Amino acid sequence: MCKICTMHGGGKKWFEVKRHVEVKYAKEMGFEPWEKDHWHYVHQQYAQLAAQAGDAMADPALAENIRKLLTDMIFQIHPLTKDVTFTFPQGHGAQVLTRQELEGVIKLSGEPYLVECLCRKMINNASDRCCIPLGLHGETAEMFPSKNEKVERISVDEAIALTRQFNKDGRVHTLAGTPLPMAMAVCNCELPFCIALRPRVDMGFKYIIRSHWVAKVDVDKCSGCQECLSRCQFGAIQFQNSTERAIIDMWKCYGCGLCAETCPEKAIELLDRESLPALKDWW
Amino acid sequence: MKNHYNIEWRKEKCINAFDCGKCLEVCPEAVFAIYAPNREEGIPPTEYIISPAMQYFCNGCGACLDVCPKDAIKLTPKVKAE
Ligand code: SF4
Ligand code: SF4
Ligand code: SF4
Ligand code: SF4
Ligand code: SF4
Repeated sequence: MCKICTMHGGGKKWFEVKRHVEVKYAKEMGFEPWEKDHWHYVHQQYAQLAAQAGDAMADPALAENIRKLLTDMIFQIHPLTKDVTFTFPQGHGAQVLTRQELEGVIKLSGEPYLVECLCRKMINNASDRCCIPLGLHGETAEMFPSKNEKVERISVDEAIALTRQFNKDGRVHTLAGTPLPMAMAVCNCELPFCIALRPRVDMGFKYIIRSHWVAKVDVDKCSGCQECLSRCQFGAIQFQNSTERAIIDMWKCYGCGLCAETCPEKAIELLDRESLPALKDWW
Repeated sequence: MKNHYNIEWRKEKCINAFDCGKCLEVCPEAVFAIYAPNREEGIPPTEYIISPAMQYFCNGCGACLDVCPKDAIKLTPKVKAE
């Protein structure tokens, strides 16, 4: 069990619990103000926090303290009251998901929306409609003020078709709490422009945890075609010249499954992280 | 090569950051972030800030300097204490 499932899953995976995608439940829990404040303030708060984190990185001891502080904040049990206010990144923990898991969440919710990725707008000045907020997170969406901003309500089938396209394009699927345990912020991310993956991968801030899976190459099946190499955003796959095979560093793997989907020989298998004694606590 | 440069974004020189945004587009290290400091619901903001939020990762490539029409970005190498 990852720590989000342990805290919120009640025996299931946290994103398989129906009420975690339900608008009604989110409203009952008083999360609506959090959602609104999130959309409204996240840019500003990111810019300020990232600058502080960047400064802290120059001092390893300080960086370590800030990492601890933030992790506690992100994964705290949220006060379930009517007056939850937004302090980024309070409760905004996230996880990498495989395509199949993500499709499951979209179906469970039944209410997908489509919006511009605020990260790519903010970091890269790019209009990239790759975020699929669900339920209340989509209902409350307010885009970074751009001229053609639009929040679209799309059908489940459209959302799934898009997910598959993003997967083909090499995007990593992530699901974030809005706040935890609500499972409503779906993104299809790209390093280094994702404001969630970047601090995790390059700075060690654990906003996002790894998926429940770890990829492994079956050396007997691998033909050495190298298709998988460019699929990994986390630098976990290498090509070994001497054996002409791909090898995966399981410690670097985030379990996104992109390599496995593309492999023409079906040589990459996703293993359940918890079945691997060395990696079962490596999130 | 990390933590080698200080970046300054000079507000008074930058033309409307939201309409230009060229520095954001070219930076390979995703150093900059644009935001509107005073937002009100339903009203488009009039003021934007470009923060060199991830200056820690600046690799000194100079792309932002080349592309900025207003010379609004200043890069200063950090002096190392060794
Ligand atoms: S999840 Fe990633 S890609 Fe989507 S808006 Fe957030 S940070 Fe951007
Ligand atoms: S090795 Fe495969 S599953 Fe693991 S992070 Fe890389 S692409 Fe994703
Ligand atoms: S895509 Fe599959 S067959 Fe090709 S190198 Fe990777 S693991 Fe081997
Ligand atoms: S010098 Fe290069 S890496 Fe540094 S901020 Fe400018 S564009 Fe980005
Ligand atoms: S390129 Fe220069 S003028 Fe354009 S937004 Fe950036 S700092 Fe401003």
